[in-house]
Amino acid sequence: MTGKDLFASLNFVDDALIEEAENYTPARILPMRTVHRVGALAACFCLLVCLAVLIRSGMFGAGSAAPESMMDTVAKDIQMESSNAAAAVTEEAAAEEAEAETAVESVEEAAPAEGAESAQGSGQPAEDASYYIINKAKSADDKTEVTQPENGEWVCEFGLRKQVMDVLRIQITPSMAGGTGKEARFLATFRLTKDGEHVDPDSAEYLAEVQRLTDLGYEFRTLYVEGETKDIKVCICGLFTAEQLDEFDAREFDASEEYGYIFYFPKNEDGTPLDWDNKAELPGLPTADDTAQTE
Amino acid sequence: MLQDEQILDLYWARDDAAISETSEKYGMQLMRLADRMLRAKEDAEECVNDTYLGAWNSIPPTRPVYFFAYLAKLCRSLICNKLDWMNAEKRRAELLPLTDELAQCIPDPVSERVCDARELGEALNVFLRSLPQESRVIFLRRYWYSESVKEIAGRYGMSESKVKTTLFRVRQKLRTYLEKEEIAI
Repeated sequence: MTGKDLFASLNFVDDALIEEAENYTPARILPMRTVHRVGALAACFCLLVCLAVLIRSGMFGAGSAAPESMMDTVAKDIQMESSNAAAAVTEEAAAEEAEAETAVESVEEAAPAEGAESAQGSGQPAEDASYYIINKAKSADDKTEVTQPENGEWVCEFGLRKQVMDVLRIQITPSMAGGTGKEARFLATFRLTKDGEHVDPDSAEYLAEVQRLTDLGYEFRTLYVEGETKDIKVCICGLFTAEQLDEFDAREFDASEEYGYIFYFPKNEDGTPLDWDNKAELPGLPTADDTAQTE
Repeated sequence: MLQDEQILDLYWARDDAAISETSEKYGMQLMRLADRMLRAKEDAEECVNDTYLGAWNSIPPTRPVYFFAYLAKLCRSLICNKLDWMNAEKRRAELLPLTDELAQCIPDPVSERVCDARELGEALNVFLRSLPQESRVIFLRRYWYSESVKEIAGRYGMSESKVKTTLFRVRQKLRTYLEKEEIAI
């Protein structure tokens, strides 16, 4: 028996189990905070009911006006507590949804800003841009250390990876997208490694790899890296879709077996992100006109 | 979009709309299934189209209780037939790790009872039903639907490490189960 035989024999799994796996939704577990809050409100409710019962039984003595007004007050209190309890539970549920929507908000915030930035550089109004560019991590504190990839493997720095996952999540659940209607593109570059050693980005070998990827349909451009030093610094950057980064090593022939790839957001010397419109036209390097059709 | 029963009624009435309704309701899911396993989009599309043909030819007399599962199994069988394990050009890169992982479940060849794929499938059914629902679903999404660990984690809102740990434990249990049943192909 081989793994392939086992893989093939899964074809005989019951339809009911296949259907279950297709439709399964995990049970939503309420956070303990919510449980405690609801429990406390339920205890208050019980206390008020007991108080109401005691009042009715004549605890406060003669006089119809006093008990009735007290009863009215208690009844109002009970009503208010019920509506507060309901509000508290929905508040907790809304908080969880708000957490999930945070990714959307930050992407949406980037959307008009990034779309406007790229539009300004190209002279096109933002409304014509079919995509918006993400060129930085959400948090400057996101760690940048990555595990060294083997040949044929790729990794993303954490900040880039998080952004990619957020975009993919939005694409899976379009209702969260808030209707930006535009595709996200990531302004990223990569370090090449070979047998664990870094390949010099200025080397012919690196350029050859960039050319190979360009021939496969990736879009590259040489951008200026702005800094305080007078030396001209450039960086070969690509404009990638989330899918391209998510499945780089699974795409047909894209990841060369010779190299490992570390994708990351490039930065200017002051830590600000690079601008896709800040093109460098240097001989022998990808130019603005070398853009190929992306997948 | 029609309910499954209504679509099945169309098949039974030999109404051509059955195929278009099937495609509208389940086409994307079937395409995703095929796309995960086959490199070429054309091969994936061919499998999905052959699935519709297979459904048309088998319904009636069949009237599946779980219509999507029936279609997905048809599709997966076609994909497995099309897969050329020796030829990497047909196969997507992710499938090798899947079969390598499953290979960990195969017991050592001591006192094996030889059985065919169907019998092994039946044994798998018994095994899968013995698992907690969450573990079973994660196992099937990984090895039946060929989803990646991160896809599964994203689908169910759990961490990738939880998915990996669950898969590891289920594979170990499956190995023990197959050893106990003395099953081999």
